[in-house]
Amino acid sequence: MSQSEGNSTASVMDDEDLLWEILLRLPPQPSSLPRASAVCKRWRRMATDPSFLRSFYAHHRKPPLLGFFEYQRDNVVFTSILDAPDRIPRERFNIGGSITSSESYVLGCRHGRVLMIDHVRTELFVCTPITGEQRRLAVPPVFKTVLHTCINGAVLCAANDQGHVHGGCHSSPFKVVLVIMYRDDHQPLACVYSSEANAWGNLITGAAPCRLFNAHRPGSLIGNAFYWLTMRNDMLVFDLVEQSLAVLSGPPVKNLFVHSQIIQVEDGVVGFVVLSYPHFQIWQRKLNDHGVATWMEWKTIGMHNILALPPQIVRGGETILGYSEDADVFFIYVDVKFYMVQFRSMQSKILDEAYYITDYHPFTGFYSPGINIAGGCDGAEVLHVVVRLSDFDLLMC
Amino acid sequence: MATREAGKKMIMLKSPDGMEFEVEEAVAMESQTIRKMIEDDCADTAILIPNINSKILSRVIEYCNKHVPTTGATGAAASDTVAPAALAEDLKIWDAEFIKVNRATRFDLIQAASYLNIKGLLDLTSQTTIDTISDNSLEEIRSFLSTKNDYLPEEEQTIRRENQWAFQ
Repeated sequence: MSQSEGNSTASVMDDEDLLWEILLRLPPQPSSLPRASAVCKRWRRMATDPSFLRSFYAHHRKPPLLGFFEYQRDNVVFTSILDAPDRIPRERFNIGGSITSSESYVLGCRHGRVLMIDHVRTELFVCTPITGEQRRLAVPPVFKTVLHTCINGAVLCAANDQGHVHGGCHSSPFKVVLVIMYRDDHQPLACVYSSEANAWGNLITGAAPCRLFNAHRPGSLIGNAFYWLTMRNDMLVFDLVEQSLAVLSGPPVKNLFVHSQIIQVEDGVVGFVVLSYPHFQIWQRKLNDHGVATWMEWKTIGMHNILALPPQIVRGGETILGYSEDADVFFIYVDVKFYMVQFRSMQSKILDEAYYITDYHPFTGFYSPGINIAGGCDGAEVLHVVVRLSDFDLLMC
Repeated sequence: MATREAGKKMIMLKSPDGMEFEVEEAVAMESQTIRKMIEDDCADTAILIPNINSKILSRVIEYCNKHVPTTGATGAAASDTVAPAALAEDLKIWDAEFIKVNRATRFDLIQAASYLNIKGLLDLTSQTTIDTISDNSLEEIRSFLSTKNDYLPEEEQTIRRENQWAFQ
Protein backbone atom coordinates (compact mmCIF):
# COMPACT_ATOMS: atom_id res chain seq x y z
CA MET A 1 0.00 0.00 0.00
CA SER A 2 1.37 3.44 -0.89
CA GLN A 3 1.78 6.16 1.74
CA SER A 4 -1.16 8.08 0.26
CA GLU A 5 -3.41 5.03 0.15
CA GLY A 6 -2.52 4.19 3.74
CA ASN A 7 -3.26 7.75 4.92
CA SER A 8 -6.61 7.95 3.13
CA THR A 9 -7.67 4.54 4.38
CA ALA A 10 -6.59 5.17 7.96
CA SER A 11 -8.30 8.55 8.17
CA VAL A 12 -11.57 6.98 7.03
CA MET A 13 -11.32 3.88 9.20
CA ASP A 14 -10.38 5.93 12.30
CA ASP A 15 -13.49 8.06 11.87
CA GLU A 16 -16.28 6.56 13.97
CA ASP A 17 -19.07 7.83 11.69
CA LEU A 18 -17.42 6.53 8.52
CA LEU A 19 -16.64 3.15 10.09
CA TRP A 20 -20.35 2.99 11.01
CA GLU A 21 -21.33 3.76 7.40
CA ILE A 22 -19.02 1.07 6.06
CA LEU A 23 -19.90 -1.70 8.53
CA LEU A 24 -23.60 -0.95 8.01
CA ARG A 25 -23.18 -2.30 4.52
CA LEU A 26 -21.85 -5.70 5.55
CA PRO A 27 -24.16 -8.35 4.10
CA PRO A 28 -27.05 -9.40 6.40
CA GLN A 29 -25.82 -13.01 6.38
CA PRO A 30 -25.15 -14.51 9.83
CA SER A 31 -21.34 -14.68 9.60
CA SER A 32 -20.92 -10.95 8.83
CA LEU A 33 -21.03 -9.41 12.29
CA PRO A 34 -19.26 -12.26 14.15
CA ARG A 35 -16.39 -11.99 11.64
CA ALA A 36 -16.29 -8.18 11.82
CA SER A 37 -16.17 -8.36 15.60
CA ALA A 38 -12.97 -10.43 15.40
CA VAL A 39 -11.09 -7.76 13.39
CA CYS A 40 -10.33 -5.48 16.37
CA LYS A 41 -11.88 -4.25 19.61
CA ARG A 42 -13.31 -1.13 18.03
CA TRP A 43 -15.13 -3.12 15.38
CA ARG A 44 -16.47 -5.46 18.03
CA ARG A 45 -17.78 -2.57 20.11
CA MET A 46 -19.64 -1.31 17.05
CA ALA A 47 -20.88 -4.72 15.91
CA THR A 48 -22.41 -5.32 19.33
CA ASP A 49 -23.71 -1.77 19.92
CA PRO A 50 -27.55 -1.90 20.04
CA SER A 51 -27.95 1.39 18.18
CA PHE A 52 -25.59 0.22 15.42
CA LEU A 53 -27.53 -3.04 15.21
CA ARG A 54 -30.83 -1.15 14.88
CA SER A 55 -29.34 0.80 11.95
CA PHE A 56 -27.96 -2.43 10.46
CA TYR A 57 -31.42 -4.02 10.57
CA ALA A 58 -33.05 -0.88 9.16
CA HIS A 59 -30.49 -0.69 6.36
CA HIS A 60 -31.15 -4.28 5.29
CA ARG A 61 -34.91 -4.13 6.05
CA LYS A 62 -35.44 -7.88 5.63
CA PRO A 63 -33.64 -10.50 7.69
CA PRO A 64 -32.16 -13.42 5.75
CA LEU A 65 -33.67 -16.89 5.83
CA LEU A 66 -31.28 -18.90 7.98
CA GLY A 67 -32.90 -22.33 7.76
CA PHE A 68 -35.87 -24.18 9.19
CA PHE A 69 -36.98 -25.98 12.31
CA GLU A 70 -38.70 -29.34 12.16
CA TYR A 71 -39.96 -31.90 14.61
CA GLN A 72 -37.76 -34.96 14.32
CA ARG A 73 -37.84 -38.04 16.54
CA ASP A 74 -39.02 -36.38 19.77
CA ASN A 75 -36.82 -33.37 19.17
CA VAL A 76 -37.04 -30.02 17.40
CA VAL A 77 -34.01 -29.52 15.21
CA PHE A 78 -32.64 -26.74 13.04
CA THR A 79 -31.24 -27.18 9.54
CA SER A 80 -29.38 -24.35 7.84
CA ILE A 81 -30.12 -23.63 4.18
CA LEU A 82 -26.97 -21.51 3.78
CA ASP A 83 -23.45 -22.43 2.76
CA ALA A 84 -20.33 -21.91 4.88
CA PRO A 85 -19.44 -19.59 6.51
CA ASP A 86 -23.11 -18.74 7.10
CA ARG A 87 -24.09 -22.28 7.94
CA ILE A 88 -25.22 -22.10 11.56
CA PRO A 89 -24.78 -25.57 13.06
CA ARG A 90 -27.76 -27.47 14.42
CA GLU A 91 -26.29 -27.46 17.95
CA ARG A 92 -26.22 -23.66 18.08
CA PHE A 93 -30.04 -23.53 17.92
CA ASN A 94 -30.67 -26.38 20.30
CA ILE A 95 -34.23 -25.59 21.41
CA GLY A 96 -35.51 -29.13 21.74
CA GLY A 97 -34.17 -29.50 25.29
CA SER A 98 -37.43 -28.35 26.85
CA ILE A 99 -39.44 -31.09 25.17
CA THR A 100 -40.18 -33.85 27.61
CA SER A 101 -43.00 -35.69 25.89
CA SER A 102 -43.68 -37.10 22.48
CA GLU A 103 -46.88 -35.05 22.43
CA SER A 104 -45.04 -31.84 21.57
CA TYR A 105 -45.30 -29.93 18.33
CA VAL A 106 -44.02 -26.77 16.76
CA LEU A 107 -47.01 -24.50 16.11
CA GLY A 108 -45.19 -21.71 14.35
CA CYS A 109 -42.02 -19.74 13.89
CA ARG A 110 -41.93 -16.01 13.22
CA HIS A 111 -39.91 -12.85 13.96
CA GLY A 112 -37.03 -14.83 15.48
CA ARG A 113 -39.15 -16.95 17.84
CA VAL A 114 -40.41 -20.53 17.80
CA LEU A 115 -43.69 -21.53 19.45
CA MET A 116 -44.04 -25.13 20.66
CA ILE A 117 -46.83 -26.85 22.54
CA ASP A 118 -46.53 -29.76 24.93
CA HIS A 119 -49.93 -31.41 25.02
CA VAL A 120 -49.14 -33.67 27.96
CA ARG A 121 -48.12 -30.81 30.21
CA THR A 122 -50.51 -28.43 28.43
CA GLU A 123 -47.81 -25.82 28.21
CA LEU A 124 -46.43 -23.61 25.52
CA PHE A 125 -42.75 -22.87 24.95
CA VAL A 126 -41.64 -19.67 23.30
CA CYS A 127 -38.01 -20.04 22.25
CA THR A 128 -35.67 -17.40 20.87
CA PRO A 129 -32.99 -19.54 19.22
CA ILE A 130 -30.50 -16.72 18.61
CA THR A 131 -30.36 -15.67 22.27
CA GLY A 132 -31.11 -19.11 23.68
CA GLU A 133 -33.96 -17.78 25.79
CA GLN A 134 -36.94 -20.04 26.40
CA ARG A 135 -40.16 -19.22 28.20
CA ARG A 136 -42.90 -21.48 29.42
CA LEU A 137 -46.55 -20.42 29.40
CA ALA A 138 -49.54 -22.32 30.74
CA VAL A 139 -52.37 -22.55 28.20
CA PRO A 140 -55.76 -21.07 29.22
CA PRO A 141 -58.02 -23.73 30.85
CA VAL A 142 -60.44 -24.01 27.91
CA PHE A 143 -57.58 -25.21 25.69
CA LYS A 144 -57.11 -28.18 28.04
CA THR A 145 -60.67 -29.39 27.43
CA VAL A 146 -60.35 -30.06 23.70
CA LEU A 147 -58.48 -32.60 21.65
CA HIS A 148 -55.01 -31.31 20.94
CA THR A 149 -55.56 -31.95 17.23
CA CYS A 150 -57.99 -29.00 17.26
CA ILE A 151 -55.44 -26.46 18.53
CA ASN A 152 -53.27 -24.23 16.40
CA GLY A 153 -51.34 -21.09 17.18
CA ALA A 154 -48.68 -18.58 16.28
CA VAL A 155 -46.11 -16.27 17.82
CA LEU A 156 -45.25 -12.78 16.60
CA CYS A 157 -43.24 -9.75 17.66
CA ALA A 158 -45.31 -7.08 19.38
CA ALA A 159 -42.87 -4.18 18.98
CA ASN A 160 -44.64 -1.13 17.66
CA ASP A 161 -41.89 1.49 17.80
CA GLN A 162 -41.46 3.46 14.62
CA GLY A 163 -39.03 1.97 12.13
CA HIS A 164 -38.89 -1.39 13.91
CA VAL A 165 -37.49 -4.10 11.64
CA HIS A 166 -38.41 -7.66 12.49
CA GLY A 167 -35.60 -10.15 12.61
CA GLY A 168 -33.46 -8.48 15.24
CA CYS A 169 -36.28 -8.25 17.75
CA HIS A 170 -34.92 -10.93 20.06
CA SER A 171 -35.76 -8.98 23.19
CA SER A 172 -38.88 -7.17 21.98
CA PRO A 173 -42.26 -7.97 23.53
CA PHE A 174 -44.19 -10.70 21.76
CA LYS A 175 -47.68 -12.08 21.41
CA VAL A 176 -48.95 -15.62 21.15
CA VAL A 177 -52.25 -16.35 19.40
CA LEU A 178 -53.84 -19.69 20.25
CA VAL A 179 -56.95 -20.93 18.44
CA ILE A 180 -59.30 -23.87 18.81
CA MET A 181 -60.53 -24.71 15.33
CA TYR A 182 -63.08 -27.37 16.27
CA ARG A 183 -65.16 -27.71 19.44
CA ASP A 184 -68.29 -29.69 20.22
CA ASP A 185 -70.41 -26.54 19.92
CA HIS A 186 -68.74 -25.81 16.53
CA GLN A 187 -67.61 -22.46 17.81
CA PRO A 188 -63.97 -21.63 16.97
CA LEU A 189 -62.16 -19.75 19.69
CA ALA A 190 -59.06 -17.60 20.04
CA CYS A 191 -57.01 -16.19 22.88
CA VAL A 192 -53.99 -13.84 22.78
CA TYR A 193 -51.09 -13.77 25.22
CA SER A 194 -49.13 -10.57 25.61
CA SER A 195 -45.61 -10.78 27.06
CA GLU A 196 -45.89 -7.13 28.11
CA ALA A 197 -48.93 -7.84 30.27
CA ASN A 198 -47.65 -11.36 31.00
CA ALA A 199 -51.28 -12.50 30.71
CA TRP A 200 -53.79 -14.04 28.36
CA GLY A 201 -56.59 -11.80 27.10
CA ASN A 202 -60.29 -12.57 26.87
CA LEU A 203 -61.57 -15.52 24.89
CA ILE A 204 -62.70 -14.47 21.41
CA THR A 205 -65.34 -16.47 19.59
CA GLY A 206 -66.30 -16.51 15.93
CA ALA A 207 -69.46 -14.94 14.58
CA ALA A 208 -71.13 -18.12 13.36
CA PRO A 209 -70.75 -21.76 14.40
CA CYS A 210 -68.95 -23.95 11.89
CA ARG A 211 -67.09 -27.25 11.73
CA LEU A 212 -63.44 -26.75 10.95
CA PHE A 213 -60.95 -29.56 10.88
CA ASN A 214 -57.44 -28.40 11.63
CA ALA A 215 -54.99 -29.18 8.83
CA HIS A 216 -52.14 -28.78 11.37
CA ARG A 217 -50.34 -26.33 9.17
CA PRO A 218 -48.63 -23.23 10.56
CA GLY A 219 -50.59 -20.02 10.07
CA SER A 220 -49.65 -17.36 7.52
CA LEU A 221 -49.52 -13.74 8.70
CA ILE A 222 -50.95 -11.59 5.91
CA GLY A 223 -51.64 -7.93 6.61
CA ASN A 224 -53.00 -7.83 10.14
CA ALA A 225 -54.45 -11.31 10.19
CA PHE A 226 -53.40 -14.90 10.70
CA TYR A 227 -54.81 -17.51 8.32
CA TRP A 228 -54.91 -21.19 9.25
CA LEU A 229 -55.75 -23.86 6.72
CA THR A 230 -58.48 -26.46 7.34
CA MET A 231 -58.64 -29.95 5.90
CA ARG A 232 -61.29 -28.74 3.46
CA ASN A 233 -59.07 -25.98 2.12
CA ASP A 234 -61.00 -23.28 4.01
CA MET A 235 -59.32 -20.97 6.45
CA LEU A 236 -59.78 -19.69 9.97
CA VAL A 237 -58.82 -16.02 10.13
CA PHE A 238 -57.85 -14.09 13.23
CA ASP A 239 -57.63 -10.32 12.81
CA LEU A 240 -55.05 -8.97 15.26
CA VAL A 241 -56.36 -5.40 15.15
CA GLU A 242 -60.08 -6.15 15.29
CA GLN A 243 -59.44 -9.09 17.62
CA SER A 244 -62.02 -11.04 15.66
CA LEU A 245 -62.35 -14.55 14.27
CA ALA A 246 -63.86 -15.39 10.89
CA VAL A 247 -63.99 -18.27 8.47
CA LEU A 248 -63.12 -17.82 4.80
CA SER A 249 -63.83 -20.24 2.03
CA GLY A 250 -60.79 -21.28 0.05
CA PRO A 251 -60.68 -21.30 -3.75
CA PRO A 252 -62.79 -23.90 -5.57
CA VAL A 253 -60.21 -26.67 -5.58
CA LYS A 254 -60.58 -30.34 -4.81
CA ASN A 255 -57.01 -31.25 -3.90
CA LEU A 256 -55.87 -32.65 -0.58
CA PHE A 257 -54.87 -30.02 1.94
CA VAL A 258 -51.29 -31.36 1.98
CA HIS A 259 -51.01 -29.87 -1.51
CA SER A 260 -52.27 -26.46 -0.36
CA GLN A 261 -50.63 -23.43 1.16
CA ILE A 262 -52.06 -20.06 2.11
CA ILE A 263 -49.60 -17.42 0.92
CA GLN A 264 -49.19 -13.68 0.65
CA VAL A 265 -49.08 -12.78 -3.05
CA GLU A 266 -48.31 -9.16 -2.27
CA ASP A 267 -48.67 -6.88 0.75
CA GLY A 268 -51.90 -7.82 2.48
CA VAL A 269 -53.26 -9.87 -0.45
CA VAL A 270 -54.17 -13.45 0.37
CA GLY A 271 -53.17 -16.14 -2.08
CA PHE A 272 -53.41 -19.88 -2.25
CA VAL A 273 -50.92 -22.24 -3.86
CA VAL A 274 -51.95 -25.71 -4.97
CA LEU A 275 -49.25 -28.20 -5.79
CA SER A 276 -51.03 -30.06 -8.56
CA TYR A 277 -48.39 -32.08 -10.39
CA PRO A 278 -47.01 -31.06 -12.86
CA HIS A 279 -48.13 -27.51 -12.02
CA PHE A 280 -48.25 -24.96 -9.27
CA GLN A 281 -51.67 -23.37 -9.41
CA ILE A 282 -51.76 -19.96 -7.75
CA TRP A 283 -54.97 -18.23 -6.70
CA GLN A 284 -55.50 -14.82 -5.26
CA ARG A 285 -58.40 -13.39 -3.30
CA LYS A 286 -59.62 -10.20 -4.92
CA LEU A 287 -62.06 -7.65 -3.63
CA ASN A 288 -64.38 -6.11 -6.22
CA ASP A 289 -65.68 -2.53 -6.18
CA HIS A 290 -68.47 -3.56 -3.81
CA GLY A 291 -66.02 -5.07 -1.35
CA VAL A 292 -67.04 -8.63 -2.24
CA ALA A 293 -64.15 -11.07 -2.32
CA THR A 294 -63.73 -13.74 -4.95
CA TRP A 295 -60.96 -16.19 -5.69
CA MET A 296 -59.29 -15.66 -9.06
CA GLU A 297 -56.96 -18.15 -10.63
CA TRP A 298 -53.86 -16.03 -11.02
CA LYS A 299 -51.13 -18.20 -12.51
CA THR A 300 -50.35 -21.77 -13.41
CA ILE A 301 -46.66 -22.54 -13.48
CA GLY A 302 -45.11 -25.77 -14.72
CA MET A 303 -42.88 -27.25 -12.04
CA HIS A 304 -40.59 -29.29 -14.32
CA ASN A 305 -38.57 -26.27 -15.40
CA ILE A 306 -38.52 -24.64 -12.01
CA LEU A 307 -37.31 -27.74 -10.22
CA ALA A 308 -35.28 -29.06 -13.19
CA LEU A 309 -37.14 -32.36 -12.91
CA PRO A 310 -36.46 -35.27 -15.28
CA PRO A 311 -39.28 -36.15 -17.72
CA GLN A 312 -40.30 -39.10 -15.56
CA ILE A 313 -40.46 -38.58 -11.82
CA VAL A 314 -41.24 -40.82 -8.88
CA ARG A 315 -44.87 -39.95 -8.16
CA GLY A 316 -46.64 -39.96 -4.86
CA GLY A 317 -46.08 -38.04 -1.67
CA GLU A 318 -45.78 -34.59 -3.26
CA THR A 319 -46.24 -32.23 -0.35
CA ILE A 320 -45.95 -28.59 0.61
CA LEU A 321 -43.80 -28.74 3.74
CA GLY A 322 -43.63 -25.13 4.82
CA TYR A 323 -43.88 -21.48 3.89
CA SER A 324 -42.53 -18.14 5.07
CA GLU A 325 -44.29 -14.96 4.09
CA ASP A 326 -41.27 -13.00 5.38
CA ALA A 327 -38.76 -14.82 3.19
CA ASP A 328 -41.31 -15.41 0.42
CA VAL A 329 -40.30 -19.06 0.07
CA PHE A 330 -41.94 -22.42 0.37
CA PHE A 331 -40.50 -25.87 0.94
CA ILE A 332 -41.83 -28.81 -1.05
CA TYR A 333 -41.25 -32.51 -1.51
CA VAL A 334 -41.38 -33.79 -5.10
CA ASP A 335 -39.68 -36.73 -6.85
CA VAL A 336 -38.14 -37.98 -3.60
CA LYS A 337 -36.27 -34.71 -3.18
CA PHE A 338 -36.72 -31.67 -0.97
CA TYR A 339 -36.78 -28.23 -2.57
CA MET A 340 -36.88 -24.64 -1.48
CA VAL A 341 -38.73 -22.41 -3.95
CA GLN A 342 -38.59 -18.63 -4.00
CA PHE A 343 -42.15 -17.62 -4.72
CA ARG A 344 -41.61 -14.41 -6.69
CA SER A 345 -38.68 -15.52 -8.82
CA MET A 346 -39.67 -19.22 -8.83
CA GLN A 347 -35.98 -20.05 -8.34
CA SER A 348 -35.45 -23.35 -6.60
CA LYS A 349 -32.73 -25.08 -4.63
CA ILE A 350 -32.44 -28.71 -3.59
CA LEU A 351 -32.07 -29.17 0.15
CA ASP A 352 -29.47 -31.89 0.58
CA GLU A 353 -29.88 -32.11 4.31
CA ALA A 354 -33.64 -32.61 4.49
CA TYR A 355 -34.77 -36.17 5.12
CA TYR A 356 -38.26 -36.11 6.61
CA ILE A 357 -41.67 -35.31 5.19
CA THR A 358 -42.88 -33.13 8.01
CA ASP A 359 -43.72 -29.47 8.72
CA TYR A 360 -40.78 -27.19 7.97
CA HIS A 361 -40.83 -23.93 9.92
CA PRO A 362 -38.66 -21.39 8.08
CA PHE A 363 -36.52 -19.27 10.41
CA THR A 364 -35.43 -15.76 9.44
CA GLY A 365 -33.29 -13.48 11.55
CA PHE A 366 -30.30 -11.19 11.93
CA TYR A 367 -27.44 -12.83 13.77
CA SER A 368 -25.23 -10.63 15.91
CA PRO A 369 -22.26 -11.57 18.09
CA GLY A 370 -22.11 -11.38 21.85
CA ILE A 371 -25.86 -11.62 22.36
CA ASN A 372 -26.91 -12.65 25.80
CA ILE A 373 -30.37 -12.96 27.20
CA ALA A 374 -30.39 -9.64 29.05
CA GLY A 375 -33.67 -7.79 28.69
CA GLY A 376 -36.99 -8.85 27.37
CA CYS A 377 -38.08 -10.92 30.33
CA ASP A 378 -41.14 -8.78 31.03
CA GLY A 379 -41.91 -10.70 34.15
CA ALA A 380 -42.75 -13.95 32.37
CA GLU A 381 -41.14 -17.06 33.65
CA VAL A 382 -37.77 -17.74 32.12
CA LEU A 383 -37.64 -21.47 31.97
CA HIS A 384 -34.31 -22.23 30.60
CA VAL A 385 -31.56 -19.70 30.55
CA VAL A 386 -28.92 -21.03 28.25
CA VAL A 387 -25.46 -19.85 29.26
CA ARG A 388 -24.06 -16.84 27.48
CA LEU A 389 -23.00 -17.51 23.94
CA SER A 390 -19.30 -17.33 24.68
CA ASP A 391 -19.55 -19.98 27.38
CA PHE A 392 -21.97 -22.00 25.31
CA ASP A 393 -19.72 -22.22 22.34
CA LEU A 394 -16.70 -22.93 24.48
CA LEU A 395 -18.62 -25.90 25.82
CA MET A 396 -19.34 -27.01 22.29
CA CYS A 397 -15.67 -27.00 21.33
CA MET B 1 -23.32 35.56 -6.01
CA ALA B 2 -24.86 33.02 -8.31
CA THR B 3 -24.64 33.55 -12.03
CA ARG B 4 -26.95 32.47 -14.83
CA GLU B 5 -26.05 30.53 -17.94
CA ALA B 6 -28.58 29.33 -20.49
CA GLY B 7 -31.36 29.96 -18.02
CA LYS B 8 -29.86 27.74 -15.36
CA LYS B 9 -28.75 29.06 -12.03
CA MET B 10 -25.04 28.46 -11.56
CA ILE B 11 -22.92 28.29 -8.44
CA MET B 12 -19.16 28.40 -7.85
CA LEU B 13 -17.43 25.73 -5.75
CA LYS B 14 -13.84 26.31 -4.61
CA SER B 15 -11.39 23.66 -3.52
CA PRO B 16 -8.70 24.49 -0.91
CA ASP B 17 -5.98 24.16 -3.60
CA GLY B 18 -7.48 27.14 -5.38
CA MET B 19 -9.45 25.53 -8.19
CA GLU B 20 -12.92 26.86 -9.00
CA PHE B 21 -15.78 24.85 -10.46
CA GLU B 22 -18.88 26.48 -11.87
CA VAL B 23 -21.77 24.05 -11.54
CA GLU B 24 -25.53 24.21 -11.87
CA GLU B 25 -27.15 24.93 -8.55
CA ALA B 26 -29.32 21.82 -8.93
CA VAL B 27 -26.16 19.71 -9.34
CA ALA B 28 -24.50 21.29 -6.30
CA MET B 29 -27.66 20.72 -4.28
CA GLU B 30 -27.25 16.95 -4.65
CA SER B 31 -25.04 17.63 -1.63
CA GLN B 32 -27.30 18.17 1.36
CA THR B 33 -24.53 20.21 3.00
CA ILE B 34 -24.41 22.67 0.07
CA ARG B 35 -28.21 22.62 -0.22
CA LYS B 36 -28.50 23.76 3.39
CA MET B 37 -25.93 26.54 2.80
CA ILE B 38 -27.88 27.80 -0.22
CA GLU B 39 -31.25 27.52 1.49
CA ASP B 40 -29.93 29.31 4.57
CA ASP B 41 -28.53 31.97 2.25
CA CYS B 42 -25.00 31.31 3.47
CA ALA B 43 -23.68 30.83 -0.06
CA ASP B 44 -21.58 33.81 -1.01
CA THR B 45 -19.87 34.48 -4.36
CA ALA B 46 -18.27 31.07 -4.13
CA ILE B 47 -18.55 28.20 -1.66
CA LEU B 48 -15.25 26.99 -0.27
CA ILE B 49 -15.26 23.22 0.20
CA PRO B 50 -12.62 22.57 2.84
CA ASN B 51 -10.57 19.36 2.97
CA ILE B 52 -11.59 18.18 -0.50
CA ASN B 53 -8.89 18.71 -3.10
CA SER B 54 -9.67 19.65 -6.68
CA LYS B 55 -9.09 16.13 -7.99
CA ILE B 56 -11.68 14.63 -5.65
CA LEU B 57 -14.07 17.58 -5.92
CA SER B 58 -14.13 17.24 -9.71
CA ARG B 59 -15.03 13.55 -9.34
CA VAL B 60 -17.77 14.42 -6.86
CA ILE B 61 -19.18 16.99 -9.30
CA GLU B 62 -19.03 14.38 -12.07
CA TYR B 63 -21.08 12.04 -9.86
CA CYS B 64 -23.64 14.73 -8.99
CA ASN B 65 -23.94 15.76 -12.65
CA LYS B 66 -24.88 12.22 -13.54
CA HIS B 67 -27.27 11.74 -10.64
CA VAL B 68 -29.13 15.04 -10.64
CA PRO B 69 -32.71 14.50 -11.87
CA THR B 70 -32.48 15.89 -15.42
CA THR B 71 -35.09 18.03 -17.17
CA GLY B 72 -35.56 18.34 -20.90
CA ALA B 73 -36.13 21.49 -22.96
CA THR B 74 -39.83 21.45 -22.18
CA GLY B 75 -39.16 21.10 -18.52
CA ALA B 76 -40.51 17.56 -18.45
CA ALA B 77 -38.48 15.20 -16.34
CA ALA B 78 -36.30 12.86 -18.38
CA SER B 79 -37.85 9.96 -16.53
CA ASP B 80 -41.12 10.74 -18.36
CA THR B 81 -39.59 9.60 -21.60
CA VAL B 82 -37.16 6.95 -20.35
CA ALA B 83 -38.50 4.04 -18.34
CA PRO B 84 -37.42 4.41 -14.67
CA ALA B 85 -36.05 0.85 -14.66
CA ALA B 86 -33.89 1.56 -17.72
CA LEU B 87 -32.70 4.80 -16.15
CA ALA B 88 -31.80 3.00 -12.93
CA GLU B 89 -29.96 0.30 -14.87
CA ASP B 90 -28.02 2.95 -16.81
CA LEU B 91 -27.03 4.67 -13.55
CA LYS B 92 -25.93 1.35 -12.07
CA ILE B 93 -23.61 0.67 -15.01
CA TRP B 94 -22.30 4.21 -14.86
CA ASP B 95 -21.68 3.91 -11.08
CA ALA B 96 -19.77 0.66 -11.56
CA GLU B 97 -17.43 2.40 -14.02
CA PHE B 98 -17.17 5.53 -11.89
CA ILE B 99 -16.00 3.61 -8.81
CA LYS B 100 -13.18 1.82 -10.65
CA VAL B 101 -10.60 3.98 -8.91
CA ASN B 102 -7.61 3.25 -6.70
CA ARG B 103 -8.08 2.70 -3.02
CA ALA B 104 -6.83 6.17 -1.97
CA THR B 105 -9.29 7.88 -4.29
CA ARG B 106 -12.15 5.71 -3.07
CA PHE B 107 -11.42 6.51 0.56
CA ASP B 108 -11.10 10.22 -0.30
CA LEU B 109 -14.49 9.95 -2.01
CA ILE B 110 -15.99 8.35 1.12
CA GLN B 111 -14.80 11.31 3.19
CA ALA B 112 -16.07 13.79 0.61
CA ALA B 113 -19.46 12.03 0.34
CA SER B 114 -19.77 12.09 4.11
CA TYR B 115 -18.77 15.75 4.50
CA LEU B 116 -20.95 16.90 1.61
CA ASN B 117 -23.75 14.54 2.69
CA ILE B 118 -24.38 12.86 -0.67
CA LYS B 119 -26.18 9.67 0.27
CA GLY B 120 -25.90 7.91 -3.08
CA LEU B 121 -22.14 8.47 -3.27
CA LEU B 122 -21.65 7.36 0.34
CA ASP B 123 -23.67 4.23 -0.45
CA LEU B 124 -21.63 3.49 -3.54
CA THR B 125 -18.20 4.06 -1.98
CA SER B 126 -18.96 2.27 1.32
CA GLN B 127 -20.65 -0.66 -0.38
CA THR B 128 -17.73 -1.05 -2.78
CA THR B 129 -15.34 -1.12 0.17
CA ILE B 130 -17.34 -3.88 1.85
CA ASP B 131 -17.68 -5.83 -1.40
CA THR B 132 -13.94 -5.83 -1.95
CA ILE B 133 -13.26 -7.44 1.44
CA SER B 134 -16.18 -9.86 1.50
CA ASP B 135 -14.15 -12.97 0.70
CA ASN B 136 -11.00 -11.97 2.53
CA SER B 137 -9.46 -13.42 5.66
CA LEU B 138 -9.34 -11.31 8.83
CA GLU B 139 -5.62 -10.65 8.26
CA GLU B 140 -6.33 -9.42 4.73
CA ILE B 141 -9.20 -7.22 5.93
CA ARG B 142 -6.97 -5.62 8.58
CA SER B 143 -4.20 -5.00 6.09
CA PHE B 144 -6.57 -3.70 3.40
CA LEU B 145 -8.35 -1.36 5.79
CA SER B 146 -5.27 -0.25 7.76
CA THR B 147 -6.82 -1.62 10.94
CA LYS B 148 -4.57 -2.83 13.73
CA ASN B 149 -5.38 -6.08 15.50
CA ASP B 150 -5.44 -5.05 19.18
CA TYR B 151 -6.58 -8.44 20.50
CA LEU B 152 -4.24 -10.65 22.47
CA PRO B 153 -4.00 -14.02 20.69
CA GLU B 154 -6.12 -15.70 23.38
CA GLU B 155 -8.75 -12.94 23.16
CA GLU B 156 -9.05 -13.40 19.42
CA GLN B 157 -9.35 -17.15 19.93
CA THR B 158 -12.22 -16.62 22.38
CA ILE B 159 -14.03 -14.30 19.96
CA ARG B 160 -13.63 -16.83 17.16
CA ARG B 161 -14.86 -19.64 19.37
CA GLU B 162 -18.05 -17.72 20.17
CA ASN B 163 -19.20 -18.45 16.64
CA GLN B 164 -16.65 -20.83 15.23
CA TRP B 165 -18.90 -21.76 12.29
CA ALA B 166 -18.59 -18.18 10.96
CA PHE B 167 -14.85 -18.68 10.38
CA GLN B 168 -15.03 -21.88 8.37
